[in-house]
Amino acid sequence: MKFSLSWLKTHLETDAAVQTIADTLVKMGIEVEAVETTGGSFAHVVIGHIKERVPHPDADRLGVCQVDVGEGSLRQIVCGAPNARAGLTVAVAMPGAVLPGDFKIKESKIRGQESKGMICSARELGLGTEHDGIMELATKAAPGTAFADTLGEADTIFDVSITPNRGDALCVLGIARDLAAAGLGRLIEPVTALTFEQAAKQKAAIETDGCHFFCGIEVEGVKNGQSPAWLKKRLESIGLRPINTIVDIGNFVMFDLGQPLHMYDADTLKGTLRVSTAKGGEKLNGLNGGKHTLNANDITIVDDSGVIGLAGIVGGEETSTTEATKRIYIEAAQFDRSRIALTGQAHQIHSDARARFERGINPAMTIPAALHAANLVVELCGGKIVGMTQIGTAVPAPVVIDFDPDMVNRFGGLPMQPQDVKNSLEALGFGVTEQTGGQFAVAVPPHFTQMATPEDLVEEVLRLAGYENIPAVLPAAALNRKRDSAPALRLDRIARRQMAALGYLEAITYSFISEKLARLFEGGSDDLKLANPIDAATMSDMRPSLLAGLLDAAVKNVSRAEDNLKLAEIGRTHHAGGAEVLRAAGILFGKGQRHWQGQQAMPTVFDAKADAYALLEAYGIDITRMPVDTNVPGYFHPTRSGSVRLGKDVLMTFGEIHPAVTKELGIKVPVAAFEVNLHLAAKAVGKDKPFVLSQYQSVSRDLAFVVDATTPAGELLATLRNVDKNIVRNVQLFDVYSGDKLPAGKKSIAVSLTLQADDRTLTEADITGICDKAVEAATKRFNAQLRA
Amino acid sequence: MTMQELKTLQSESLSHIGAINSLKELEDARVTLLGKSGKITELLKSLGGMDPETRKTFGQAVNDVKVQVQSALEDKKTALERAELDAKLATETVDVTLPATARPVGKMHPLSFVIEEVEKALSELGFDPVEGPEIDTEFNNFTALNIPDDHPARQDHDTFYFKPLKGENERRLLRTQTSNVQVRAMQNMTPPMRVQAIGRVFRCDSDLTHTPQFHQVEGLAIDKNLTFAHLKGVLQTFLTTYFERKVEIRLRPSYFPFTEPSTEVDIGCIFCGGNGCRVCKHTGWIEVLGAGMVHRNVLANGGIDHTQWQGFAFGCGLERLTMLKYGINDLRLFYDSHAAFLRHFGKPAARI
Repeated sequence: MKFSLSWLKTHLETDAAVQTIADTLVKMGIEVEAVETTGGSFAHVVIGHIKERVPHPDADRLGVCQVDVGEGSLRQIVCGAPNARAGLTVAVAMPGAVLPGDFKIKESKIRGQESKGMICSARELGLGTEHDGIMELATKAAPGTAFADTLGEADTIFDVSITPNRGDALCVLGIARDLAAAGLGRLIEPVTALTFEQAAKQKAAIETDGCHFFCGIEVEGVKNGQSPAWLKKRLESIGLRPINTIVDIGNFVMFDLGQPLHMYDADTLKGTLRVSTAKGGEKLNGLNGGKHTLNANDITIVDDSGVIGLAGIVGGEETSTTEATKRIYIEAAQFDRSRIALTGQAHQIHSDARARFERGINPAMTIPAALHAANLVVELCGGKIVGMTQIGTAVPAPVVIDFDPDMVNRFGGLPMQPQDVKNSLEALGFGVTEQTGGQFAVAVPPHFTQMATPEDLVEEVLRLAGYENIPAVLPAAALNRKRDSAPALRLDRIARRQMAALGYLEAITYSFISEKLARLFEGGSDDLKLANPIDAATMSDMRPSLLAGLLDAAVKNVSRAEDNLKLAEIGRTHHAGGAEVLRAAGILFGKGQRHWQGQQAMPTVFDAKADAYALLEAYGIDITRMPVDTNVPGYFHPTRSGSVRLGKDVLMTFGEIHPAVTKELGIKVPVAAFEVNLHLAAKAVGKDKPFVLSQYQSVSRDLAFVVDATTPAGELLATLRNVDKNIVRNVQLFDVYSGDKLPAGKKSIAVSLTLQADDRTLTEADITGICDKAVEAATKRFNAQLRA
Repeated sequence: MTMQELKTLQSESLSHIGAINSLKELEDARVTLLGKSGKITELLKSLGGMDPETRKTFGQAVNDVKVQVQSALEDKKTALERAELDAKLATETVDVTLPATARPVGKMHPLSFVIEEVEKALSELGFDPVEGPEIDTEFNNFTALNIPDDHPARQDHDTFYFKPLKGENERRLLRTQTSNVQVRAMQNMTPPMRVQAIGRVFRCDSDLTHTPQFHQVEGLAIDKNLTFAHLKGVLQTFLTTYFERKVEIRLRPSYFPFTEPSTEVDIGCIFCGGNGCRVCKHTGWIEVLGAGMVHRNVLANGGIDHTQWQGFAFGCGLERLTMLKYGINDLRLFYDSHAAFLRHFGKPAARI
């Protein structure tokens, strides 16, 4: 919300400096987004037109501008702003000008180029914080016109951000109230007659529990038109466009006192105006230009013609005031916060009225605001007040909170005497009654609509005292720590570090991918589709695999000539039914780097397998002993990929990506990849074994088996390892051969067995025995022949 | 042989050995002098026929010659072998300025090591890591945190919702904040407790300063006597540890539905020292997190009696912390997976 200093001063008697006001607002919990000054004297600052800008011959960042300042000839000015260019209308500080900060402008030479003045940024003129470039002015004023003449009267505009609990501060009066409480001046309360005996002719009624109080004032004989200058200026100063006097008065009073009003053209109303609840299906042409079809339970304003407004949110076109309006009906009501919020959300209407109602308006200001508006109408548009209708009780009984003043210390951490607590609360408008035992009964003033608990009061006292005065205290060391509560955090850390150690660059890709990719990676189930994706074409489905995002990253990098890379990601994937699985994945792609030692090989299934195994070994998993199968998802190359399971569940997949997939994605280089389920990896971690350093010699024996070409080597190795787990320490495969020297359909697998016992030196008989058993097992299982 | 002749043999042998240039010649010389029928060997054999007196003096002299010749032969052998090795190595010269064998250098993503840094800093303060799901219910993400469905704060969150399934009675969403972990933690643990939750969160917003996915850390502490002053102490220490330097902090009253009182926390601008610069928009302060005392309704939703226990919570965007500490100026780079970015801002695992 914006407000101007001059407007503020209608509610706050103060001579505080602008900076003091800004600092106090922040201290009180009202965030200041920007402070801007309009107008001022600005001697020797004139309007200029940049006619030409050429680069400075001796400085890259500077430009030399020729500027028309109405002197007949052009004036040369050196300027470093990135936005300086021919065609701009700018503010030029001429030699002799003195800018804020006692910055005297003189003719000078900048890097050898004459510069006769300065083109100004907003900050240099003290008009705001903007300093990324020079001000680009919209004025049509001729070059040489005094800059001050193009501005209005000097004023300061505050742009503040109001948190959802501070409905009271969504008006200038509320801001002034907070500043007065903080000691910045005296609050000037609005003075208006609080009753008006005569009832309005226009009938009104409440037919819903969504309206707590309704006030209507009828004014007849008005002549609508343009607002006077002071009113236009008020609205323009906070960024509102003046429309006509009646509408402008409604807006002015809302921003001034916080009560949203609605102005009806009373001659367009049919019968009794009623606050009601929609049945659903009714139509409304809103003043916002929207055509709305109502939902059941929407809170509405109706008359005999039907729905004429969404109560407290937006009015209808047919009953709105126009230049021709003669008789008006001013609505000032108190609508239910929740009903307004839900109706506003359903129709996605963001209006100033809705924002105030759903945050809570000050009920004590409803009638004064209505009367103030009516008086202004009479003052500015003529006519007279016909009467006022009130339905319900305007100001409910105050909320009273039982409060232990020690809570400011016990909960808020700020030691404070009860008397000081009382003073603080009273300064903020609370009524404090001391009870026996030191307790307070605290009556909440009506403008604080959301306060109900002692903690709320603690916050009030603290913000008045200043958060900066709360000491910083470290709590005592924590006992009963539960360090193992999140093992997954350690799981992803191991993967991140190991992948980096294996030469992977770690990427973080989006958790949502395109539906096409999701389906390609065996996801895309209905429960994982976003209802409101940020981009329906590329970010609609939750990812079932990290490889989808990594392949997408590969595409991006290949297009930037990064075509030999290892990329990894560690993160969660999402699966039908709601499972979230922590995974680590890596991809290797490229044609192999050219190198003077010889071109590197293209990444293959075995590169992916090596890295996947190295990753799993980092977890302490004896992965080489786990069987590999070739039952893999369809995005892998059907004959150059594999998976390792833990029970039925896939622990890890590895292989080359299916060429059809890389082609589809537009990746023109080979890709190998792997993906590990880290939750399963945690379960696969073996138990620590006792360490025994054998005192006895180890021996090795080489054996070569001839088997069918389709026999999986891994199974042969496992069979050989299992011949005698105590003695066979290692089985190293060192050659695979098929060719002329073997029958067709056969291959030879040569292995070296490392044999060792913990309790004795193996005898020749032991060794022969093991080797014989190995041959026997291989023959039995794979019909293997020992190769001569 | 006379002593004179022996002397001559000695000097001739030694000078011959000294002049030898190859191992072959050296071996020949060894055979000639010390072989089975070498000159010195023969002399030693001849000692047997001498009278004891002569044998003693002449034998001593021959033996001296033998030792000297042996030693000369060995020295020469060592020298020749060394020369031969030197000559061989000279032929093996390479240009050591050629590039090394290719080996890719892996790096962790800057967010990853910031997550570790943050986790460690909070662990030191007693906050243990807990986790929660990325896809959650409206209840856990909003309602349990005292954000009912008519609350204005809900629309500030730009929530991603899932298409509702048939028969689904509660809307599922992508969590908008790691605070969804709070109520779960309270339900699963008994106070006193201090936990932290780090993870991905999502909001339907994408521009220069927003990505639809980002990361947060959440801290929650519940105990008998924790106050706002402890919150301040913890944040001061946490931020100082994380930034590895003394940072000024400024607390401003603010509002979050799940805390009361609430505060936004700024740090003194670490780029300009508070004098005002572009990063801090000339205010001298940079907003880094939100915090407050846990609201009694949130405690109740977590099954904790607010008359017995009280505590604080804070939440912080990690991208912002990363950008501030490591000088990254474009948020979108985090998720673009450009190798150049990952190499530049990433760190090898060994440096974390």
